[in-house]
Amino acid sequence: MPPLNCKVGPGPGRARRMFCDDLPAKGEEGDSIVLITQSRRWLIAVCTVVALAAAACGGDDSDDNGGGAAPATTTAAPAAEAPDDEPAATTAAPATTAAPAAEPEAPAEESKPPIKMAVINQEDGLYAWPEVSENTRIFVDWINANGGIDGHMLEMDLCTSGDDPESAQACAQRFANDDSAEFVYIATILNSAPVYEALGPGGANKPMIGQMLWDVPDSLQPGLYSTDPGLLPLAYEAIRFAVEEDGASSLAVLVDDSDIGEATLAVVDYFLSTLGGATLTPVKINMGQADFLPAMTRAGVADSDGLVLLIAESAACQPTRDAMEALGVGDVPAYLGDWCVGEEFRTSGTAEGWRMVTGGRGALTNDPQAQMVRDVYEAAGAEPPAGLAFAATMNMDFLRQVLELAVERAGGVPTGADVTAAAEEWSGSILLGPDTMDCPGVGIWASTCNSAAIVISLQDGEWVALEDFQLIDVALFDPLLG
Amino acid sequence: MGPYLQQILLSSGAGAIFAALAIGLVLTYRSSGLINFAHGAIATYVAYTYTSLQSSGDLPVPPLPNPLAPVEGVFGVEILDFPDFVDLGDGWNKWPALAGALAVAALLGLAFHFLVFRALRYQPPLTKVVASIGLMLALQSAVVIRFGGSRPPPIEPLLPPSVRSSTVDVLGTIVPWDRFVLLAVTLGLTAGLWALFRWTRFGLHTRAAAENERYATLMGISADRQAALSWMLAAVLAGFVGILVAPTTSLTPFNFTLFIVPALGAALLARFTSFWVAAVGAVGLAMAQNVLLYAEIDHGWFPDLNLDAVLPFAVIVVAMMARGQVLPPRGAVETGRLPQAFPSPWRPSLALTWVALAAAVVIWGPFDYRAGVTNSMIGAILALSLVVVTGYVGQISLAQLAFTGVAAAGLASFGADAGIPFPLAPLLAALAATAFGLLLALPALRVRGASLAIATLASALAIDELLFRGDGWFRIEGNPNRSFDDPSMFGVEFGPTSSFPINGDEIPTPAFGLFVLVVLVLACGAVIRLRQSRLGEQMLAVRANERAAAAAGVNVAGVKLAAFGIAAFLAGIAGALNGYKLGSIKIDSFSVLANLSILAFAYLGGISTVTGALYAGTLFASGIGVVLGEELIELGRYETYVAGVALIVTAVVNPQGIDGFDRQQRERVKRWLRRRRARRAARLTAASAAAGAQGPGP
Repeated sequence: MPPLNCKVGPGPGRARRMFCDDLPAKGEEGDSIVLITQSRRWLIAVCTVVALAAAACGGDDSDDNGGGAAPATTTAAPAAEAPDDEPAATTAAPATTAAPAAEPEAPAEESKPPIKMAVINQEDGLYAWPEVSENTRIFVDWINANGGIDGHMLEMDLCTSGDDPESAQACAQRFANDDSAEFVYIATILNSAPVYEALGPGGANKPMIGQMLWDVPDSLQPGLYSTDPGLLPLAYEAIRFAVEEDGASSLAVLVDDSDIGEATLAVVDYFLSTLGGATLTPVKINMGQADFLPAMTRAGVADSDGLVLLIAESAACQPTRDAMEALGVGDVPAYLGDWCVGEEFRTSGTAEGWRMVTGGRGALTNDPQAQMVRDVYEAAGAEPPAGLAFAATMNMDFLRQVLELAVERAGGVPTGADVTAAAEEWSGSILLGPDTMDCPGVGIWASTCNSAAIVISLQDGEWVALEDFQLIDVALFDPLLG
Repeated sequence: MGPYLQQILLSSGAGAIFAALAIGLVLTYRSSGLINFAHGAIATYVAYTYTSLQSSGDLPVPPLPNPLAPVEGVFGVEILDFPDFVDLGDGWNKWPALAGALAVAALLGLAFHFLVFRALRYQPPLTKVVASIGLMLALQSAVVIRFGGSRPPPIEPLLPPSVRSSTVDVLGTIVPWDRFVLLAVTLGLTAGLWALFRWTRFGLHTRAAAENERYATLMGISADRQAALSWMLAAVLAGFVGILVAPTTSLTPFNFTLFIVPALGAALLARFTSFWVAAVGAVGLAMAQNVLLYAEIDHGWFPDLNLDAVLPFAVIVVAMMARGQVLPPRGAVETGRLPQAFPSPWRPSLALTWVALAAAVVIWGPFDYRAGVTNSMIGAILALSLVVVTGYVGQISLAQLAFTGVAAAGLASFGADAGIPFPLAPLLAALAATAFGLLLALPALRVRGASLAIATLASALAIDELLFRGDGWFRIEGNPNRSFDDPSMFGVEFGPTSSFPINGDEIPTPAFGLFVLVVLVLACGAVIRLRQSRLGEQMLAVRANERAAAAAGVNVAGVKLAAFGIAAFLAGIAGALNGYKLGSIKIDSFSVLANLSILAFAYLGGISTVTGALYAGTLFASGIGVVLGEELIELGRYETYVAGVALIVTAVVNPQGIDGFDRQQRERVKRWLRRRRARRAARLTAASAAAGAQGPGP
């Protein structure tokens, strides 16, 4: 192509016009192309980015607690600023010893110093849970509106991570270096390894309460206290129920093609050997799988007694059901964790007939404690948390109870040692969980606060418990450590 | 044969998805010369819009710039408040929801054309690739911002239950009827597009514009209007496919983007020209993938190497080897150029100032600044690798992050497992990355531009699947998270937790930052030297015009191989340093999507200069630029979204990146100073002349 013979000359106003000898007409501009002046282009560009950034900061009520790798400090609203309708949130509070009082307590004495609550949440990126930050803030507001922790207001210091390990590590290092952060609430984090390394016993040794995802073995790390039983106990109970209660002798397994999936598959293999044996046909599947159908046939679902779904991702629920229906094996029971437990899966019938292992009663719609959680969020004008956000809420309330114990021990603002001691001596009724549970668990799995699991099922549109809470002896897993 | 036939037949659903995306890619390329990496993200956004309309009647509004935000901030008032969702009543029925979502898709397509890609039509492929990556990031993060990540909404299938629950017996194999319907719909769409391009005025005009835009314009055809219509059509197609297939796959913010890789393979097979070849190729690809997967189960000797995921890479490489210059050149007027590769003259005083400043921050700065600067320095080394391969030689590589993964995993193998001491272990790890870089250079000998971008993207996926997963080289049974010890030499440790006399009680301690600083200085020096060397001149010659360079006696293949090798080595060094910094590595950190972002941010910093790499380093994950930015404006969940928009704006407004902008401003200041001096000199001259004219009286 011959080079264009162009020259730039004056255009309309302050714009510039490019004249080309051999460039044919372009629309209405004749033999020239109007160029916006460089300064105007920059003005437009800078205005766009600045306005977007400014809008990001202030344009959304829900993001005023945003932070980042260099996190922002957010102090949760004190009791005096709580919404007027906040007391309504507590009207359905159950009469359990650990739950907050049904009526809001008097505002806290101002003389009591606040308790700093360091929070890490994965909020930015393509794999993130920004809504969990907001849910946590609402729960903290509710605690403060109800008198805080024995009069100590919770002061939330949120560090938001992206989906990269560097920003997760930055958050963890920030709190590891912060002497005023005695404990850390892990709302959600996928890149757990660098976080655990910085905050765990090998690092700053600060107690962590919450859930660590993805990196194995999730939730079962010394120093991390969680109401989430973790994938190991959930998988164990699912397999046990299939073999012992339902008499399954052959199981098809769809396992997530990821770090945790690989590890969990080995665990499931081990469980089956301890349960007297059942044939297992595992097939790896990833979230980038266009269609679950071929994988399901490879796993031999049609010829098996059940399908074990080891994909801890609620996005897998609908495609699994779709593929089962398409194959005409919709009546084959599926065994999985709690990731397909939710109102939307109940109303859509996606989870109908499946056996789902959960660490709490949250799904059971008539549970008063579950109702209490819903009321807290409805009173704040927010949607009740679902999925992972709901699990985070459970841990948040667990933290509240541990802090009450810790404040009682310390007689004031607790230290990290007080929080650890409180977590380890804590025993009682936890929100949405079994009637009694202890923390720690047994042996090396010291932080498995909730080693109780329950199998529930959706039957004719209603959640039904298929058994009582099963207390799992986590010492069963010791050989997995090699 | 039975089970294999079954796998082939059952692949029709996945094949339909790949095919639908592939024909959308072909449509966009034929009309606007763009390989749209955001095509899957458009499908995602529209599918989420459909679920929202259908479940609650809420129309999501992407985060919009608020022009009054600065005023609002100053006065503490809220004047303009864009809603997150527009309430359009209760949940809609699926057909009105479909119509609404597709209308949104059409508007998006139109907006993308007029706001972004119209301005880029004369720009080189790199600029367009970056803009489409920016669009992808912005769309995907908009989905996360609006819908969260806890749980996607259930999607009501478009197909009626009677179709979805029916099966058909094909040669004794039971196959669900709905998969065939999906396939039939996709093939119908393909036929429709083919007919549109074959028999309608629109198609004729689009083909004419693609063949020779100049003469098409002479004939009164507006290529711009054709491109706008095609963008609308492609967005509607993507959205429809997203809604149609969402129940059979997992609707997440990034899934459809992952499907783009096999779709790209099929589109490349079709030379981004033939709808039918793209569609059939995609279906064949899906079938071959599932047959391979079954063979892994069926035959014990078959290696568990995720060969299904590697297959698109193989298809792409074969297509390139067989067809050479894969993408047909478009007859568009291309006046844009790659960013200028300014030489970086060695200015010791300036370099020492920056090094001293970095060292001061690393030693005495607060820990988060320390970590930010350290992250930035590692990121800058990675960006330097792109300066070499893309900035100097003009080869678009979307696999640099995969090389960091190879090195990080290699570090664990050589260091932690084999016990090879520092510094041999990281050097060997970087050499392993170099070996893969040289392998990747082989396709680059045949293709360039957008084709190479696709090849490198597929390579990144292949490296991920072959090396890190299954029975891959770097995998450890049951514990994929590798970890290793701090680096040390002669008894001195310089890891993130190693002791240091100043600020040694906060992690990361300054020891590691100083170590990284030394490596960065060496890397910068090497790249500056490379730019000034004979090899550097040859690289620029290859970038400017391969044929002319060859005619001038430059060994083009050798130069490309050298560039890929050097770049992979630098990326490997960055990977090893990152491994030391994190203390462990995680294979998911080197995903395909992350690879896309790396190129985009390197471009944003300035992909052709060493200074640009330093800027880019500050923008990478938790770099100092991000740390400072967060302290100033707390972007939080909007960070990725704003980054995506910034990439688009950079591609449109200033393809030179931040470094180019910086140079322009400095030049402007210099010119102003020169003019000022000249005016002053002129005034002085005039004054002295006037004084001389008056002269002393007689």
